[in-house]
Amino acid sequence: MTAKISRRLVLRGVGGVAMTLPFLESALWTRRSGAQNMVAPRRFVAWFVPNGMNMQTWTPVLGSQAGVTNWVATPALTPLEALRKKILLVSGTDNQAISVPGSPPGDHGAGTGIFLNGLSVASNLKSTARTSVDQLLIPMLNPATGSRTKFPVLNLGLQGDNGLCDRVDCTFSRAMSWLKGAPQPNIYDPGLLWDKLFKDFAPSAGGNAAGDAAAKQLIADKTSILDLVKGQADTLGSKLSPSDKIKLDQFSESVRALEVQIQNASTSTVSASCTPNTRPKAGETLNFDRGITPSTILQGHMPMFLELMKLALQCDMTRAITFMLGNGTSNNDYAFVTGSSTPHHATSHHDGNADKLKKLTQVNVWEMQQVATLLSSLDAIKEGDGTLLDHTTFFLGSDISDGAAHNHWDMPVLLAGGGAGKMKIDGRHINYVTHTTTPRALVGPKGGPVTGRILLSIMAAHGLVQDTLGSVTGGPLSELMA
Amino acid sequence: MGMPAPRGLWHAPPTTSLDSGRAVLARLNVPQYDNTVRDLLGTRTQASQAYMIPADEENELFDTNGQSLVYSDFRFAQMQQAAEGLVAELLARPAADPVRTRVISCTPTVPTMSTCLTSILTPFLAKANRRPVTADEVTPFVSLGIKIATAHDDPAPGLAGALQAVLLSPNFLFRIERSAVAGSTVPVPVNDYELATRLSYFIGSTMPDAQLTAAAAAGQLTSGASYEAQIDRLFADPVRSAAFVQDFGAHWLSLKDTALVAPDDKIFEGQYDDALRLSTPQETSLFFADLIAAPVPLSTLLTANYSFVNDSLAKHYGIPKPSGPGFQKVSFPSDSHRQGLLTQETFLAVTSLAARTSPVKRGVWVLENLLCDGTPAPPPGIPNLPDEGTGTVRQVLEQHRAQKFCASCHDLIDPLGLALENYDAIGKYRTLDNGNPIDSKTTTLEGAQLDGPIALANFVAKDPRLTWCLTKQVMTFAVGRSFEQADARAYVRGTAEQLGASPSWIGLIKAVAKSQAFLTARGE
Repeated sequence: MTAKISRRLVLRGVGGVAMTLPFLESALWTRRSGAQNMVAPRRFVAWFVPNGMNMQTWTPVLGSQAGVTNWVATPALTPLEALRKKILLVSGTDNQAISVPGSPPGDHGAGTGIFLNGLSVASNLKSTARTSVDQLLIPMLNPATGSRTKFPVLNLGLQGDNGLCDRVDCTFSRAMSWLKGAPQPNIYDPGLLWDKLFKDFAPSAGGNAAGDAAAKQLIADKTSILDLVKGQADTLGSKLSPSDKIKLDQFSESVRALEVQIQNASTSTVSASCTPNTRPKAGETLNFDRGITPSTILQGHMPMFLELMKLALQCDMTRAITFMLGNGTSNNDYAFVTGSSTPHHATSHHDGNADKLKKLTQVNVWEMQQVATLLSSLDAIKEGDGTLLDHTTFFLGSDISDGAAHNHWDMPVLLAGGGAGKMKIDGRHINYVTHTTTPRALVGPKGGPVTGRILLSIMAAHGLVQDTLGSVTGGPLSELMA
Repeated sequence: MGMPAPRGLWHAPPTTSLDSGRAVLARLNVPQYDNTVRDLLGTRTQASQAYMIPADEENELFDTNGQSLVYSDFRFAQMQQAAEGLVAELLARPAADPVRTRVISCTPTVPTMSTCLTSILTPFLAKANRRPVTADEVTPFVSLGIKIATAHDDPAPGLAGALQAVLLSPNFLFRIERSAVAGSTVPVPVNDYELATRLSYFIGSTMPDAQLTAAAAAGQLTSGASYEAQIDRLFADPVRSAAFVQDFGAHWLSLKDTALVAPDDKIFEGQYDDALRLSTPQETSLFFADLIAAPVPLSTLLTANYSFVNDSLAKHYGIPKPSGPGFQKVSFPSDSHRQGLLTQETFLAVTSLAARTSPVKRGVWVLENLLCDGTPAPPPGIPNLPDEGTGTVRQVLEQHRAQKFCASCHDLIDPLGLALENYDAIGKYRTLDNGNPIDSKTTTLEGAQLDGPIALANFVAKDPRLTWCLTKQVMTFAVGRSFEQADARAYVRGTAEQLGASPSWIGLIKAVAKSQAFLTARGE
């Protein structure tokens, strides 16, 4: 029987360009005190915030295509002031042409559905070509010759499986990670996330729980069960039609991924020094039937997720994380931030109303406070010649720019971290368009390069050099690259 | 090689053109999985909640589309947790518990593993796979059990492991069908076991029960001998008919969206509470279930002069409280302004905004859910209508007519929603909007004059699109694929035309269950 190649290794060939693995071709990452030859793994973290921004309180006044460093922090960016040197603001990019709504989807569905994968939603509803950057980067972050984490990627979300679907399949609003057309559901429960990371965790070499024979036997049992399941799928697969076989392949790959996880097949040794936190208490369970995420969940779960994201990276349980702070078209109520009813989507349809705009700013400030908490916690972890943040590429964006106009140009984008040493994340504000009024208009000028080229830039920095991604063409943006 | 001779229910090809669609292999969706393990293992646990199985991917209102349903690492990891937990729960039951002995018919010991496991797993695997199994199919599970038991020198983990493997096999987790000819586009009748499975998940969202399986074993389904009787029997089962109302109705009638209703606190202070929100979908569920059971013509959905209300809804509707506790069937007097689905809280509230009605959303809902005649999304960059203002919502919407470009769609949508303006954003009857009298006289695109909600309901009830649209909705749910393409729509229309003058819900359901789309499969 021919050996099956993991779909993720196959993805490595996307673009058909020979991969050069930066620094990672050296041996396992080991942690030795006074490390001389420490080669830290690279990580990728992507955040989606819904409903755009109050752009007047987001975009700093000073900016240029080459980027300037003397920009003054706007209210939304003030939480990130201490991390200024390690962020890169990219303003004035234009995703309109590839994010247009169709019949379906609406603007939010179109913008959320394309966010991390670059493939237009309209006309591509069932395309098996839709694969997001987190999935594409997995083999780059976990090379065959180097160490490998227990979880190739963690897809997380705050809102839960509810909310408006904007005239298209709900998956385009609720999933950020896509693998060959299959939306990857988010983990919404921090307790469940903790269990996946730490329930069977025992700090020993490689983070294996199999320190004793009994634990080893249980792992062997589960492996035998899953081997039988895989065998059943293989027997079936040979008899199915191609479109059915795709479904079975999704299944088989998932079985395989679970085997890797169960065997604690992380070959990373950093977990030896990992210290789990206390399991989050099972608070109010996310009741998807209720349809609205209570603010107690939003407020309660957010810090839990921030802590677990940090720990997951620090303990090298994963090197790729996607996080949806809200689903597309999210109507999460931010009354706990503003003091009065603030359903996010409804409020983002401000129609120029000063009160709504003020509330939007407050929401954006809260969002960036969460970002700042995560980034500064990563920056506090020393790793060899730098910090964990230096070894991470952080990308944040939204489905639209201004909430009332639903425009997909002049998009809000924030990058942070080290960019794998190949991006110039150095405290600049790059702005590809020029604002003619002060304060800038709520809806900015069109033009500027396609927003999706930022994704191509991130990929190139990690050794995945290609000119196109889905509907995005033109290759990386030189202003972003070192 | 020619196609098999037509037999039983699949008579000569229908006079409508064959549609070119194909249902992709479907995994069990979340409600189907929950119900199936309930019936297979006797568990009272709602597995999807207990084991945090992610929600399903929806398509065209429903969650039964095999093309859209997906396996991901996360989903399978949770299925593995569920399999472990559910098997442990079963084995932890007392030895004499009939729920346990139904599955565990002998007590294995390490020396007797092979015979005992074989006698447990042969019927269990057949039930799980929803078809007879050969000895060769059972052997790997028995071998697995022996291997694990030997390693532990204990039969218990061996038995548990073998049962878990059955619950994780794709033969259980997917509704596998093998009758179609690989690579061929010619529809082939599915076999009795496959038909029993399709019917059982259509009506009840669960695995076939013993009687249905026996009918399949005797070939009585494809021969037609007891097919219709089985449909009647399944619907008579209250658990199954409730599941149909929930799993079909929750999506088609937007029952799930009632939880999203969040009226503006200031405007509707004191008029809307959690009791009302929770009562809302119950009214419509009971109403829909009654329509099926009665049976009455499909159009009664719109024309019914009765509904099911409790105290909370009665107060909200301004009608006398029901005579007993909970929900009661109440008739509306002849001069009532309430009639049928379109004046029920569910529809009125889920199609409104927080602060005001949205005739556009209401019109779109009627067009898409009842007439299957929706319009494209609005073009990008359209500003919202202003929230504040001194006029009525109708006056604000006049802007749609001012521009020809907008009018092309809005002349279709707005008249339907505007006819309902007497119901405010929380479904309460009113005669004034913003202090101005409401004018609910509208003219549809086809030229029909409507004067208020009852006229609208009667208009939809008589519309020829209603029957075929309801047929399309049921067929989409039952067959698990899209019928949006032109030839598929024509096929559905052909099926609907055969229903006769005023079909009932059961008549429609049976017609779908007897349709070529439901009875056959294609390899390609």
